[in-house]
Amino acid sequence: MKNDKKAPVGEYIFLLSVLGYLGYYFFDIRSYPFRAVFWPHCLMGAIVALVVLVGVQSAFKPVHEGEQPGDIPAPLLFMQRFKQGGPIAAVIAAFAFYALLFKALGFNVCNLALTFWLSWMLNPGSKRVKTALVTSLVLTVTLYLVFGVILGMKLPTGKLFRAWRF
Amino acid sequence: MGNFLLGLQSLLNGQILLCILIGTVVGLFVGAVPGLNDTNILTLFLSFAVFMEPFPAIILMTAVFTSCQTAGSIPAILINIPGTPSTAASTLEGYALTKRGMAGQALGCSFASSFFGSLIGGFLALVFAPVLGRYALSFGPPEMFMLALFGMTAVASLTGNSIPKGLLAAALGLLVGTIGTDYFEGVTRSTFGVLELYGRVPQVPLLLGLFGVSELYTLLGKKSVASSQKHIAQTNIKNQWEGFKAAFHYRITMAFSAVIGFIIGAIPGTGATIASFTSYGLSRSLSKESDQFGKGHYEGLVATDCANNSSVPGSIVPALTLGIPGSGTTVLFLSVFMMHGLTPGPSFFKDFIVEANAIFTTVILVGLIAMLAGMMASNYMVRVVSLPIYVLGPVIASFCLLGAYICRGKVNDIYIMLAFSILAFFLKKFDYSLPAFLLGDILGSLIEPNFFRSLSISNNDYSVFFTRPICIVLWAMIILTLIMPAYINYKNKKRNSKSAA
Repeated sequence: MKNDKKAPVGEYIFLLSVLGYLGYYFFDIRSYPFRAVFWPHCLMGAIVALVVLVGVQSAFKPVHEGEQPGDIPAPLLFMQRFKQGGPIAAVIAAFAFYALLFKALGFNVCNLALTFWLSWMLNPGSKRVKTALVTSLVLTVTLYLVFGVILGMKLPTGKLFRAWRF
Repeated sequence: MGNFLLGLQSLLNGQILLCILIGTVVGLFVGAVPGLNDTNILTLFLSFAVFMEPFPAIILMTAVFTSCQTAGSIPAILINIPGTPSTAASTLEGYALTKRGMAGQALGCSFASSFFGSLIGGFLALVFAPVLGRYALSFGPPEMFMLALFGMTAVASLTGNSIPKGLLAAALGLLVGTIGTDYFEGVTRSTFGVLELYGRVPQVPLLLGLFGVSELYTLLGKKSVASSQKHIAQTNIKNQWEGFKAAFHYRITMAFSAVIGFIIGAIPGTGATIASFTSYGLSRSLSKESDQFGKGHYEGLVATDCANNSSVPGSIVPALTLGIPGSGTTVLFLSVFMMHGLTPGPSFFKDFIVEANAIFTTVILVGLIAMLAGMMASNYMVRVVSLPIYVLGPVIASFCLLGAYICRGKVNDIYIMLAFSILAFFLKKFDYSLPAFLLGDILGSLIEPNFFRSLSISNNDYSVFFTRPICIVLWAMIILTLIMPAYINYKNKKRNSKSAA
């Protein structure tokens, strides 16, 4: 049978990233006194050993039917995975933008924009704009009333709006 | 019983009953909203407490504290986002039940377990508080280290299909627990220069990233949370009652978890999160149906929610008897007492026996009210999971983003949440245990400082971990917890082979 055991490349990249982080941590604390490095060093040793163990185990793990990519050509497989990971990457980017603009635009504008986009993106139906608008408006107003008005928490109003004396 | 009646009698007053009702409603709301928790609401409440009599103020705080624990399980069960950090363990079985289309049953089981936890915890506090307070003081650094080590045995039950992967997740959690300023040398470790990480990784953004946002990534390709819309539509009081009854099938687990939760809660510096995870781990180790855990098993939910709620009166005990808070929230209790010139301590139970009993009776009463209110409202709550993803997705995103921000008012906490959500996504994708990671992070903050403190007080003599009586008991419990599953498996196999013959 072709492609009986494929190396779990994704998991290996993940494990290598873990080792990469350990490398950063190791060099970050290399000049510190014994008591500050003892426990992290013990953990790093354990993690390296476990990464090797998991890596070896994954290499010999039998691939179940349905898990293996089969005979799909590499470019097509890449496109398939990109399609699966695309929305996740988009959500991460949207969250990062939200955080970036949070102080400048304030909670209300940021939340309205993010929830509108998210609802629009997740809805394959025909009335997606209307649904997204209603969802984002109701959600933002409710959160503002509960957290900002009833609980009296300080939600950022936005530097731009403050400058315009809104 | 006399203590309970004495406490109940002092609660029969219009003002006090109103405080209990307001506290319960506020607690249910706060607990059910991810990002808000008992500590930040009670901190806001301190400004009101100055103008109130100390007794009603403490009763109101107790009501918020107790009902928060019950309500925290609701979002944990329905959308896999713990309402409070202490209910993170409820996601393990609760959300698995929801995904099987049994959200109503899970909520019924959770409410029953929470009430039973409050009931047992309250009674234990009424009976043993004066005695237990004294013992809580005998937990020094070596005992705390051993307790954290004992908590780590719960990792064994959280590892999932692969033990090395579970251990790796726990070790990564422990390493994340070391991020921040070192306890002894004052140097910063792995902070990437981010000021918000100088203390340690903030717990709320970490939790929201691990469970909330990462779940949103998983839901992106689906239509709704539950696997079956049909089951959601059928969720009614009958289903809840089914879950309620199922909880009482595990009476021994209930009682055992409540006692574990109460004891761990009474140890200063631990808290409900450690109590619920430890109880889950122990129940799984001792259960005859341990193979069902993690797939949506009532017994696991009973263990976590019972321990979680019984740790509430447990954590109040050292605050009243020794003046040492058992958790972050009980620090605020002490603040209210001190605002009014009262000093909790060994003589508190002599001077204010009625008030002390009333506090523990409130825990029981609020447990009952929260259960009834929860059961009445849960018919509407479960509809959350049947919401289409284009409505639920924005709701989860908003609560997570706002929750990460409002805790400390720092935008960088949103980035921290995002970083952990990406880590959680890959951990889940490659079958690493998220709860093991979280437990590692929580216990990491206990293990390292207490290890070095123990060595400092013993002049670097490692025998300090083997010679103190409580340490010996904890060693025995660790060994028992590790051996027990193998023994039960052996017995089950023997029984099966006999019946087959």
